[in-house]
Amino acid sequence: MTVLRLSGLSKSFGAKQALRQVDLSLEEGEVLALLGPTGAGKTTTLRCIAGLEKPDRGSVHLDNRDVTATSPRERDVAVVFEGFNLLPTLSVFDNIAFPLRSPVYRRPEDEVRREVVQAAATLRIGHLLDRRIEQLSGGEKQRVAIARALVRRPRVYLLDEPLSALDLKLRESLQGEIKAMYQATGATVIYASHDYPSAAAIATRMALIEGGRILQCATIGEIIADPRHASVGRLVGSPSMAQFPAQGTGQGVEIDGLPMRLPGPGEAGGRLLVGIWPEDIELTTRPTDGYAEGRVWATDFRGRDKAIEVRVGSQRFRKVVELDLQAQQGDPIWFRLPPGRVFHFDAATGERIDHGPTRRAA
Amino acid sequence: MRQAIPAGRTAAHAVPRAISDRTICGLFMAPALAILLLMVAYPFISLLYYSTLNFSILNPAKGSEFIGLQNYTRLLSRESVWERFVFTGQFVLATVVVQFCVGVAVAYAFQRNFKGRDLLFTIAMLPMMLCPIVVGFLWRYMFNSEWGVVNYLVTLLGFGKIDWLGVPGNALWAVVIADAWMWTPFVILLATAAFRGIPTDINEAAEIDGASPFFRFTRVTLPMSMPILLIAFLLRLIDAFKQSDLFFAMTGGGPGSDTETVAFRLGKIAFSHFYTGQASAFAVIMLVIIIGLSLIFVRLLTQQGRQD
Repeated sequence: MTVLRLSGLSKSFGAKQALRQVDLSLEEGEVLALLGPTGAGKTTTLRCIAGLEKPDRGSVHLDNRDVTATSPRERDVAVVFEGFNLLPTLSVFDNIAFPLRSPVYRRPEDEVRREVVQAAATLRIGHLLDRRIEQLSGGEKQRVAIARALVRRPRVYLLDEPLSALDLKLRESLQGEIKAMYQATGATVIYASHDYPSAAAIATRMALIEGGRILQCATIGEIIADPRHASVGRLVGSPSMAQFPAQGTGQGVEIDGLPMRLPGPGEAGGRLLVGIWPEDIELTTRPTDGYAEGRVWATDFRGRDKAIEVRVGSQRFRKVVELDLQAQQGDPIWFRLPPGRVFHFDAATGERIDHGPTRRAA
Repeated sequence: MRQAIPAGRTAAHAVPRAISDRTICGLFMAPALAILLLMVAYPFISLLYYSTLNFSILNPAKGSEFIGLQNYTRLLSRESVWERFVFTGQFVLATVVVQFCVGVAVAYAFQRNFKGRDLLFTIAMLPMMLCPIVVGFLWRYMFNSEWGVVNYLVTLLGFGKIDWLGVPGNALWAVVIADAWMWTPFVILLATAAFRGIPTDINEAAEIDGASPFFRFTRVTLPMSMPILLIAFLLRLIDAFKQSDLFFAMTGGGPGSDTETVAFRLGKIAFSHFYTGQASAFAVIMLVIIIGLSLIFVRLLTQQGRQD
């Protein structure tokens, strides 16, 4: 069942077009990550869904009911904001209980107590209920904010970068808690983030947004198999897609500054971007026919493996390799882009210009 | 590193030790302290001193006789003095309540965005900038029972003319209206500042969580602006307690001395009768009351601060 549907949502603030024709739909129990860089329109999308912002055009449907013109109170969505929106005048308990004491969602006080205690237990803040908000650490505040959303069991949870202010360790443990929360309650969630790993850890589907436009909305497997836009490649993956400016020759594609000719679309002289997931790039430490020579510019040790950055002229890419790969900083290295694994994008618009999936989902 | 410092420098460094940090501190504070002593401590101590004398500034030749606390006992045993306190209390209560109800409501209305809001806000601030005596005479003419605009409106509504300033009960309310007209803008100003200081996030979150505008006002807006509203309340309370100009201009304290506030009576004792000693004692009593009120509020404020 479709819980939430956005159609043709557009919104501008003065001269700035924040959303352009956003279409999205969300099934019951689904967790959708809204992934995009800062200023892409993630927050505006969420605010339109919550009713805090009125779209210039388009509509918001909740449970097949058009709520575009209704107030936030009548929508039954909960938002966890990026900043902490807790009331400093109230205790942790009263903050979590706030929605259940409001005119719209009022419940009997004994039920409120039960729900608050349960939500606090889910987020492991049961021991903090009597504290004042300013006595809490950032991570604790964020848990309280999530508990406050959880306690009401709304139709849709809107999480706006709820973890970006926290340190890595806390973020990972809260990711687990958010996941446990929606698995336990079957909640429908939109999780807005600019961070691919945390979005990938939480979401069942991803919508990639940039410049107020949804570039692609699909499962992670589908996105990897068939990225629709160069920006999708830049947003997805860790490290993200390697992209090389290139030129069409009529018979194939020549990557700028590399002795590499690849089969591909594009008329002679047409500018394009050749993209490939770093996992598909083949490396060797010895000169080999059909491989291009580059230089290891940087290496990051990540414990079990390492990420290397390879540069050739103005071209560069990052790739995770085994620790035992003999490639130190400054060493030459040879690489190859297997033809079937390469995507082609228009250099000006970023749109894909070869058609159909070139590779099945990994 | 130590050795690297030239000998001259270490020596120069050693010289200021002759004057300790405390002394330097004292030297820097001395001018401010001197001004404070001269402007605050000296008058206060002399006030305390005069309050124990039977002394009139008009007749210094008659000398001043030390009479201990007799000025105080004489004042406090006089029923007319207690009546002034009761009257002042009624006035303070009425005017502060009116100012806060109207001021907070208007400030809340000003939170909404509408055309001409800033202009309207500026106009609303004007009464506060006027001279109290001018405001007093203005309202005195408006409340004039024969040709004042207030009674004109009253008759338009079909009622008989009201003797606003000639009857003590009416006069109290007439001055309350004038005082509230003049000082509600102050409450609007501070309440607006308090309301604007509340992050919009918090209100938006409350709205999403099902809070109606009234619920948000009582559960979010008011508690979060309480520290500033408390300060505004204290300032208005003290100011209302000291009110005398409006009564001077509007009723002259009359009929009889039925609309004299404490401050008004103090002015009369000091500068009409020139009973300097007794006036000093009266001023000390007022001061004690004001300090007492302030202490209560400082307590409340620090408690609030500890909670938040």
